[in-house]
Amino acid sequence: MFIDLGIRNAWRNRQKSLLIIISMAVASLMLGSALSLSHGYPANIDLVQRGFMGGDVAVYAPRFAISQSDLATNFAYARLPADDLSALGDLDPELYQEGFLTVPGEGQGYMPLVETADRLSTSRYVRAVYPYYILPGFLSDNDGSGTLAPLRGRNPFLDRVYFHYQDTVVAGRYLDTTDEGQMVAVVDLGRERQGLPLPAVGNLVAVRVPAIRTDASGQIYYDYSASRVFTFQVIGQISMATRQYSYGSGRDTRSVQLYWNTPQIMIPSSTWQQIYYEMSGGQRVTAVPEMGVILGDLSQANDVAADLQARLPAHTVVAVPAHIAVAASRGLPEPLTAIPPEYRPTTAPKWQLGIPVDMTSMIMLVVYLTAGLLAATNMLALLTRRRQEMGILRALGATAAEVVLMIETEVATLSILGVVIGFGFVRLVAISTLVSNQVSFAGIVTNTLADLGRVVGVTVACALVFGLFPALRAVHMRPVEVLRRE
Amino acid sequence: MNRPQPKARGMGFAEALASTFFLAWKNLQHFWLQNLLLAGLLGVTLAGYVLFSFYMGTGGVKGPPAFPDTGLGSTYVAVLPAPQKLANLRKSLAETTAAADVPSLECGVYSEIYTNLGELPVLGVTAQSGLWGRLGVTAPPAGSVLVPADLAARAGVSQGSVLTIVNVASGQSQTLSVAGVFQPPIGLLDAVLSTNDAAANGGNVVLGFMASGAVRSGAAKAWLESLPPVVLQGPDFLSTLWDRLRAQVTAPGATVVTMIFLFAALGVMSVLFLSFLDRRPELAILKTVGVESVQITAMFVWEVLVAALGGAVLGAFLVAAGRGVLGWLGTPLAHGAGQLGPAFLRGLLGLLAFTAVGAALPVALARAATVTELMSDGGIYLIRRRVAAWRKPV
Repeated sequence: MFIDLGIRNAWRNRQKSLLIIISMAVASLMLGSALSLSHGYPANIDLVQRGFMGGDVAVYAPRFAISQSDLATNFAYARLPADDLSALGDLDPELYQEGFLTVPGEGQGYMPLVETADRLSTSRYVRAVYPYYILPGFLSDNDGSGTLAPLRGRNPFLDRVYFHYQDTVVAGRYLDTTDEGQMVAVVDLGRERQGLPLPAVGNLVAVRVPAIRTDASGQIYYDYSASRVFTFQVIGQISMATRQYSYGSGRDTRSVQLYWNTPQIMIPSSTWQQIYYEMSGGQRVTAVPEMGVILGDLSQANDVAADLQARLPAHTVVAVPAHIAVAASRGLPEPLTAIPPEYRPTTAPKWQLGIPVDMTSMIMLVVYLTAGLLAATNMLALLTRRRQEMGILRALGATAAEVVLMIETEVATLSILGVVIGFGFVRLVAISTLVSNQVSFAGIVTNTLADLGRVVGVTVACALVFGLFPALRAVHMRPVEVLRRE
Repeated sequence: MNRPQPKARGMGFAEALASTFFLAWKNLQHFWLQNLLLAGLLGVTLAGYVLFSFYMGTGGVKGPPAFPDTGLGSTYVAVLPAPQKLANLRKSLAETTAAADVPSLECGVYSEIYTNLGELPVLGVTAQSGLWGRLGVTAPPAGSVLVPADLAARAGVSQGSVLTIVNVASGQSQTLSVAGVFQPPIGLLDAVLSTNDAAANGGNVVLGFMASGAVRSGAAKAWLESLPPVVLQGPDFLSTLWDRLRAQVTAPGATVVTMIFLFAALGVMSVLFLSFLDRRPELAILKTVGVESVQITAMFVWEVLVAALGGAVLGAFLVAAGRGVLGWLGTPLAHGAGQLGPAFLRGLLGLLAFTAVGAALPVALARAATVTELMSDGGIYLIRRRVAAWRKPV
């Protein structure tokens, strides 16, 4: 009966208890966001960039992402070799030009291929590992001779199935699995945008590749004095359109398409491995500068990246959309020359990628403490105005426990109302992310119920603890004094 | 009787504060638990701000670790993305700052060469350059090169070895002898050779220059840093790197702090609203006996101030406890302990500001409500009536 009374009271006083509902809604919104939204991305986010880097999560050989606990360690200065040509050159050029701070003994330019891939594959979220096969190269024919033309080994199957690179083709066709082992290549229109010669479809392109050596520490370096020329037939041209950039205002608003430009000559991965074998004196590929990790879906990408980082502490692991966002805030990797200087975004200052300190639990503690105190204060004030009601209830024989039960029910009901509003709001966005990642209906329901359970549990527990203040205050009122005063 | 005495119109706020102290004190005593909870809410807010400041980096900066001497002294090394005439640089510098601030400005060729040891960034300078002295070596003769110690160790190169430089366009190569091994000040350079050799063999030549000697003014340093360089390295190079890193890792929790303060403002607003609704008869009587609006305001201000003071005391305890717990958990401080006082003061000021925002509306309602409204209307209806009255065009 008292639970029923509590629910009725809560509903009847919902307007007067609006601030309890709002505070709990905000608290649950924040907790709901922390549980669901910060973890993942919609399925189609940065698809072209993910394709270029070969995965949803990127593993970089050098250890340049520093966590807060690393700040207390000694640092070593490192700089990547100028001819180590992973995608970092586009996203974090300072790692090559200025160098970076790293943990002593780490921060090397290459990581072991098989060992790293094995460690990554033990994660149940990892669907495929896509090594970043790259070799320095220069055009060797008369036209544009000596200009940059790094050789990139691409996996046609992964490119087509996961990243839909066939959709980026502007002339000819994209690499296919039947091209494996063939001397064929695809080039990016970005070469032309960068002022480099663009081989036409059907033409031959000759690329000079240096010999591959290993130094005393096992790291790869290139011997340009022992180079060799390889010739490929160009079968296609692609254009990597990344995002639209709008500038101006009102009627003068204009939109510019931005592109990720690369000088790379893209060849089938098995062809690339054959070239590597020949130029390294009969060695198989044992180390790569970067590795892409393809996930089942992006709804947990940041969590998976954190998990993989824990498995590979000597390297840097970051969700590609997160890295792209950091680079985009600095006007990278796409050149902004198509945008008039006065409309170019103010770029964020240069920085070394760091792993922000995880203060989620502390934030939640403070948020729930304030929300709980707010609810208790509010309820106390409400109960002060309901002295008569409490007096009558006690006079009718309601025990202290029953009054406490009624008040706690009221607080819990109001809190749940707040949770439904706050969590429901944030969950709509989270569900759209899950749907876009083609997570099954059962998966969405399970995921939502699990998060809801956690949010309701924390919120109601907090409300019940703080609801004790006003409840105990109410039961200490003596009925006769209350009624006399009224 | 502690009721404030009626007074002629035009009472100042200070006078109103003085006249309502005892009334406010009685109210605080009567609603002690409510005010204690409000103080708790404000205390948690304050402690939250201070702890976030200390663990997420919104305040002062803890010093960087002791880095080894970069060897650059007061020298700045800049590498420009496109060739520029040294004379233009001198002219630009002269327009910005006194020439004495940068006693010498040297020019060299910065290029990237392709060798049997990989792609190497090299600096070509003349034999008269002051760089050699700063590196502690003598200028290598034409046709020779100096290589840094780490590259020499890695590639097994020593004095007398041969370095093959390749022209990647033609495929032709030439050899240079290694004249010596040097300890570079920082990893900017992988080799040093004479200007002519660098210019003749560079695959990707850009102009480098060095401002040597003492950079004596902030204006000169600002000028150097205003150049559009690919690379600019100065004596505080490693510290700058560390600062950027720290700023990134301990990203300011501005949103979180604002959210927490907003919660506090919401709490103050909530408590004062309910306090106002609960005390409508009392306010009606006060207004009937001639108490001025400014005195009503003063009465609420006292109550909020005392709660804020209580919150400050509680916040100080919570900060101490929070630091103890986080220290026990091994969470490192983002700042030096000396920043605690200023951070606490900033938090207190922020808290008072947000508290004032939260109190504004309930106090305005209490001031504006007429005696009739206070005596006749239920709480929520009174608020609606007053809001409607404010929105009505004059």
